[in-house]
Amino acid sequence: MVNLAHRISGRSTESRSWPRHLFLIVCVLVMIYPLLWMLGGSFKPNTDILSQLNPWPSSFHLSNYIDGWKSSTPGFTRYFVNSLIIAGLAVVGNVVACSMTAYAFARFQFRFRRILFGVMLVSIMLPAHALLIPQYFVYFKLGWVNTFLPLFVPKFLATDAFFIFLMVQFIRTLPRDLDESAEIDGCGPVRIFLSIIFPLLRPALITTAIFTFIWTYNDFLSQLIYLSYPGSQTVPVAMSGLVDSSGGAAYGQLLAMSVLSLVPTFVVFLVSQRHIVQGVATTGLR
Amino acid sequence: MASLSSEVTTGRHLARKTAKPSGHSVRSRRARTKAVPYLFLLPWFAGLILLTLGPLIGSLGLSFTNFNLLNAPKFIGLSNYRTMFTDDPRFLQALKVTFIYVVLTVPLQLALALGVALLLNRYIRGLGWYRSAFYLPSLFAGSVAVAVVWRQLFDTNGVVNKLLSLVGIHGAGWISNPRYSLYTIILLHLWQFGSPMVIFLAGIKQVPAELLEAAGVDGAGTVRRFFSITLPLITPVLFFNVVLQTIQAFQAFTPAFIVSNGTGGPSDSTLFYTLYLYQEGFTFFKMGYASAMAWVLLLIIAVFTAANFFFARFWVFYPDERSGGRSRG
Amino acid sequence: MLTGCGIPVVSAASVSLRVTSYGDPVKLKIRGEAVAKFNHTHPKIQMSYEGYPSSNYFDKLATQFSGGNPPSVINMDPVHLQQYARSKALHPLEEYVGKTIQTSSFEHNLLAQGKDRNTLYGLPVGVSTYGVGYDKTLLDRLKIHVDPTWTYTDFANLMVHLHKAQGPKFYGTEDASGDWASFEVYLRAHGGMLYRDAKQLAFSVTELGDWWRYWEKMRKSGGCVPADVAAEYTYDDNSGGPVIKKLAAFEHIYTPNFAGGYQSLSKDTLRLTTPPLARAGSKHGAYQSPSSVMVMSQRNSAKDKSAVFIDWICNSPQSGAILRFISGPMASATALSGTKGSMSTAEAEVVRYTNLAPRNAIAPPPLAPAVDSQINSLFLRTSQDISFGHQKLAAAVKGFVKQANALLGG
Repeated sequence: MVNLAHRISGRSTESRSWPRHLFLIVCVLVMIYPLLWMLGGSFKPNTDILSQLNPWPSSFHLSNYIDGWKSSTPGFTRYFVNSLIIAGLAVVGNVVACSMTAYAFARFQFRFRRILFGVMLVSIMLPAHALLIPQYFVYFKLGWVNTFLPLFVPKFLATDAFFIFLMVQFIRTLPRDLDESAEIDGCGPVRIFLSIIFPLLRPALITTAIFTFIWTYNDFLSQLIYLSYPGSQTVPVAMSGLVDSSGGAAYGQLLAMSVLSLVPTFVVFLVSQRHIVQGVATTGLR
Repeated sequence: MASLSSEVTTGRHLARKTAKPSGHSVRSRRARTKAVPYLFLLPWFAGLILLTLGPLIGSLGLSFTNFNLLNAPKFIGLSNYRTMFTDDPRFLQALKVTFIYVVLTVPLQLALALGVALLLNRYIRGLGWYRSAFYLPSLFAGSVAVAVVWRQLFDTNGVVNKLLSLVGIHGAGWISNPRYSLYTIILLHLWQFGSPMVIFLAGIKQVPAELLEAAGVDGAGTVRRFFSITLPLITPVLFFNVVLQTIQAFQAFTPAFIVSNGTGGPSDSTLFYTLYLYQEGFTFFKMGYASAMAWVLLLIIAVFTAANFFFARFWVFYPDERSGGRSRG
Repeated sequence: MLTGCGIPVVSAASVSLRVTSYGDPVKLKIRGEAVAKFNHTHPKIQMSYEGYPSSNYFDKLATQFSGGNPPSVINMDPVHLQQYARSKALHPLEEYVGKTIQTSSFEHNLLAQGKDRNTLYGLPVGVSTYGVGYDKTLLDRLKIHVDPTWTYTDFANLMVHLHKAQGPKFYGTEDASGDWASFEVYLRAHGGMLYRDAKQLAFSVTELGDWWRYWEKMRKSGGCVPADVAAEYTYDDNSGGPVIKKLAAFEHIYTPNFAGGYQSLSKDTLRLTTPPLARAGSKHGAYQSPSSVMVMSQRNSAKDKSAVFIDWICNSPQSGAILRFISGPMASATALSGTKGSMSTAEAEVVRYTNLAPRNAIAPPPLAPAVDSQINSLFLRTSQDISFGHQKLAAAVKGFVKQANALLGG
């Protein structure tokens, strides 16, 4: 029995796992080859980047990193701080607001539920560019233009319906017996949400957090539209200027800053992925 | 939205509820807390009214106008919609490109993501790093750097052609030849399969380990365990991914924009629907027409999503609507 | 909200005068310094400066105008001028001419390109000139001398010669068949132009057919890069151009893209020369145009003060001393006189060419119509249809002329 459980959970002995390692490493290398090229290019002088195919630089130059970091005022330290604040607030907003909304949709019967669920889905079906002008109008009238508000307040109002839908799907995989037995024990809906649904929803919440972080962090267009240079510039906006159709062609700096811009998102992913897949002991609660 | 009804299951659920011995007390409590769902919906509702609905209706309004972004919009009735279907070959080309893209990327990416998720679900040393490495390409969305890298790979003199020439094949200009350009963008999208992979990983982890163990005791092999336990139990997540990926594929903009430099070229071979919409709206100052295009796309997506929900009732399995508790082996 | 941490979650005070510009960080920083200098010397007028990357700058601008929140003074591409001017989104500068704004220091031809229907809307900042760029290091090695009195026939012969000399994967030039600007230069050299009164095309089916046939022959002979190489980059985008990738020796370059763009990406020395002539002794088709202009929005609460700023930034030696050559040499002679200090080799080449090009040039055309960008895009698509064999040349020419005239509403 112990042996079997061991086998099923896939914890094979190290001596047998090397073919899998080999296979995975080959896959990973193919997957990340373009990124290796980018990493190599970030150490090359500008004149070599577009003319050489070999990702390995013939000599290492750190100047792309140093010059790129200071390429504009106030500099990338500030852009990273701005980007992280926006992405961090957006994560909090989405996790809180979307889980509340999802709980209501997944576990309650109320009037117009189907219609509201439909409206929620329809709200994400219109392409972003068509909404840009009317949205700008709204945020301008609210006096939010040139502040971070348009970039994170909507998340606290659960406008990212994808995540509501994601959480609805996850809540629905949780057996209803859990709520019901808690209800019999005298828990109200708020208690059930906070002490049963929210903890059990952890994989979906972490998923939402990761995606929100990465998508918000990379959301070039909204940041360009709603923020203004110099103080509130963000990483993607600052990067897009490095290679510019009106003349500037600092490819080395672009690649160097791209490498650095991946660091926060990569760290966020590396740290949180284990929480997604740690799983939740649903059985223990029953 | 009638087809959304599989999502919203009322009858079956309530029938089960009343059958329970404790049904009465649960129902009376439910009556007392009738306001509760609305309380939970409050932030979303505020967002809908204040931020979402206005722009949505605004863009619908603009779709009946001639609007150059700078002057007040002029009402022209259905004229934009008529032009689209009767007098705009680029619109039809954009539809064609987008349909090919959706039909190819959605199933391929989901298969890839599910396959890798299963591979990375079993314990192996350095698992976190492997997962992160596979997710790495998805970390950068529309960065200019991706365009630079992609061109270095698929250029006439790029890495791919250098490799092909080793085996004696004279490769084409993959990005620049209208025959292949769309497929390199599809490849770019497949390369970034991280998001559905993560959702699958999360879904697979919701599958109770003791069910798999029990099946293992009964002698079911890995493949049987997958098809008879894991797959049915992750259908809600699979369904979510299908719906999400379909919607996102129809709205795909960034890959085409960065690879073709916003042109949709060569020869309109990568003119995605939203890219054309963007050109009309912002490059050519025809925001009325772009808005009309947006609403046609909304209708197309809504039909596909409704169909997805309709067919979901035949294959998506929700543990919360099963009658009786989960069997314990 | 979080202002305490020095982070502008909520903007502190509303500034009434805003000026926006676009470009790479180097240029934006320098323009910011110029605005700071202006604020320092004009304590009664305070401009707040915003600079954005070029990609999507005009989307942002359109969104701001449309949302009722346009900047007071805008650094604008002349291509967009007519669209904004005719929509009455811009305030004409006429009333300030001779008072706040001095126009006598501008070349007549440059100033004319800031006008729509004889009304001045945009004051030129720098000068941009269409040029034919080439890899001088390579041509020196092949002992080829570029003679600016060449004709289009000479040009084609030289390109084929280069292809033969440098082997199967090297071509003489880019394929300019789909470049609307190169076609304009060609038309002008032959005594024609693109638009008549901004209402219809001013060239004939024959002239367009000649142009596309010229390039079709070039592709067949190896004089220019093949269709799929040509489609790998967009015109005027320095990233993937055949000269940088060492696939060809010639490519058209606008002067503002030369120093910070093309030359910075190549180890070889690049040079600029005038485009070919129709026949020996005639004039070439390149002309000077403003690299960008300064305009004033209609919805501007302090127009007089904005005019002072526009004149200072375009027209003062102090501004010229700061802006130097970042978007080509300054358009105003007064501003140019302030430009001091040592130049890089690439900057010196731009100045040399900017002074050389007008000597044998024809007066510039009137402002392009608002649908120019649509026709431009149609031109590229149609030429690609030809080069990839999707359309027969004759049919493509007819189709283009018909569709373009329909867009012009003529």
